[in-house]
Amino acid sequence: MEKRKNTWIRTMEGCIVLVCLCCISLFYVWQHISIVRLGYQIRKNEISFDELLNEKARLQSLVSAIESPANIEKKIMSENMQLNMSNKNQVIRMKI
Amino acid sequence: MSLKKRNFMSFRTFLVMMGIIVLWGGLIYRLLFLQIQSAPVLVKKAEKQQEAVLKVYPQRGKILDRNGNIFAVSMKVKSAFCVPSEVDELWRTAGKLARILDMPKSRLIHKLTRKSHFSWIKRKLTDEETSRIENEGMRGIYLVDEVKRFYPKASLLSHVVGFVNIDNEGLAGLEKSLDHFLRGKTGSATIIHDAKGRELYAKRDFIEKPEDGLDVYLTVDEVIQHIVEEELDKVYETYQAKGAVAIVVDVTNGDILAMANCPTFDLNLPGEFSADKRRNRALVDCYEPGSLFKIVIGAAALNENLISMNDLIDCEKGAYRIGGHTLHDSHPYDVLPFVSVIAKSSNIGCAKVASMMSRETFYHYIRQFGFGQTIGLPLEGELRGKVRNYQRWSGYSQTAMAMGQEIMVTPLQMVFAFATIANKGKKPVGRLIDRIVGPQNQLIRKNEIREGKSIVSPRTAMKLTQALKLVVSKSGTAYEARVEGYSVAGKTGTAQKVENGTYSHSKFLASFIGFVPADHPVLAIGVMVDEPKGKVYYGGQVAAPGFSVMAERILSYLKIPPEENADENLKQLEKRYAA
Repeated sequence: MEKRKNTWIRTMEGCIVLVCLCCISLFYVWQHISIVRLGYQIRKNEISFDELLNEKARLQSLVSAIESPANIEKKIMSENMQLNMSNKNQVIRMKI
Repeated sequence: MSLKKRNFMSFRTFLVMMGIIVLWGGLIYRLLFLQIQSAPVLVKKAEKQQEAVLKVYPQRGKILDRNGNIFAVSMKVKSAFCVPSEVDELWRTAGKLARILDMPKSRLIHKLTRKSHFSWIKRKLTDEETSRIENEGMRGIYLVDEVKRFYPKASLLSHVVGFVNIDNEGLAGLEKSLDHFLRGKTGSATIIHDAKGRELYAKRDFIEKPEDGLDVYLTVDEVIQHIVEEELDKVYETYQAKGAVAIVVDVTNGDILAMANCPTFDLNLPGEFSADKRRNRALVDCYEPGSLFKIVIGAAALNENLISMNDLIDCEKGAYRIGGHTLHDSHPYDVLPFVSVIAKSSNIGCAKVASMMSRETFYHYIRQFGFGQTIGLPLEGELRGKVRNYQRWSGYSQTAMAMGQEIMVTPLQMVFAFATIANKGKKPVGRLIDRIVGPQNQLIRKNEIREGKSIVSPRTAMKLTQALKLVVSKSGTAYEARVEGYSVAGKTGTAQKVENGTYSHSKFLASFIGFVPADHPVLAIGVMVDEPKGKVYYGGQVAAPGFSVMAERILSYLKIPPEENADENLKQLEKRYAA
């Protein structure tokens, strides 16, 4: 009776160790896959961040070109807005 | 079961067992072979397939004006390359590429049939070219990211900003001289990718971290630069000149607010313009300054108390023989007070003033004003000019130099000499760079304003300013340089150019340099026109009107209020010295 009980306990211990080993293995594989997946996601985000930075530089360049005085003057001329530089009589300066 | 049958069964079991053992034995042997014997070779093979060294290129720093307006910026664009061995349908591919890239088909075929694993098709494509190549999906043709430099202001400040080559290395201007700040540091990392070629981010190992380039803020103001370029271009076109230069300096701190050259060029297409058009004449051109140099003799004589403003000088009715040469004035004058000698730009009067001082003294002031040495701007190729040591002067040299001959100066040096007078005798220290900031906008270096060296006393500077104010009066040589509502002090120069060893009578350098408002100066503006064509060639006629318009527009932009009674004060000054 005692002998059979000991065998059962040893079998159970063996099973628990096996289950634990399986769990550890599964956890290891799961976390490894998660790291790889997260890595893909980070890389994807890194690429889109780079693209956004590039887009920002492109837009800054565009704004800079549009805002340049030469471009504004050209636009005023092309739109025929009839704008002229103010002469001294048209400018009133006030001392505050 | 009979014994025979049992033996047969155990034999079969034995065979199966042996079979399994042999199989497993073989497998184990193979495993051991792979793991131990072939391991080094296989590991190398695997590493070669999975690993790659990735170069991480930094973002080149921006160049901006004092208010943060961008003059140069970098961004990623695509470049097309081919792997010749992978290209099929050679003629069709070449035809398609020729249409998209506007390149000769023969050149493309040459590129597509090269005996190499890699061949550039075209670098730094436009957005349209990129999307068309992507849509075509040609075999063996690939796109790769590269960084391209863009200059959104095109030709504005082009001679100062400079440009880079296809590999983003500075070739001219600030792009070259500040390349070590702008370019940043290329990084590298070992990466591992999976079977699909995707990078395993967790395994990325930086060998060297990349560092983005630094942004450079200039002292230049975009609007002032535009005003100066626009007005200079009008003068250049009107007189069909060989070249023209204009410089604006803040006399209080030495800041370069504008530096314009004509002819100019588009920074986005530098290769399409000749080297002559890309030359920054303000720094790399040396010339004899002519009458502009009279401020040096005037300042020296006044500072050494050799003369006072009212001392009379006999101007010999326009012709005076000295040292085997005959000097002439543009108009004959009899006796003039010193102040009028400057205002009317009398060569004879200035020659007589020069003869009052020793060679050493004259040379000392020439050097003190900064001639014969660079201003020290961070631009390559700045010339020092030519100033001979007084021990090597001839008997006529001092007289010649009083008229701005036998000496070579750059336009920038001359403007700074005027800025010295405007700044109460203290020579401002030139600044072109205001600050350098990092990618996160952190201040890396601030180019502090430095106190200038005192060249002449404030009293001398004030006296000379009175004389220079008369230059812009009705009786002076540059009435057209006046700015309504503001007092202007300045000097004209009409230097004869040397041609075949003698002074030309048809080639001149017309110039005007002045400062405004004369009594409380803020700006020193210099306009120089090289070889103006036509009947008009005097500095007071060619350069002075340009100065006037530039000064008026810049003062208005800077919101510097007009002075009360500026015109009235000038008239009174005229009357005082006329009396």
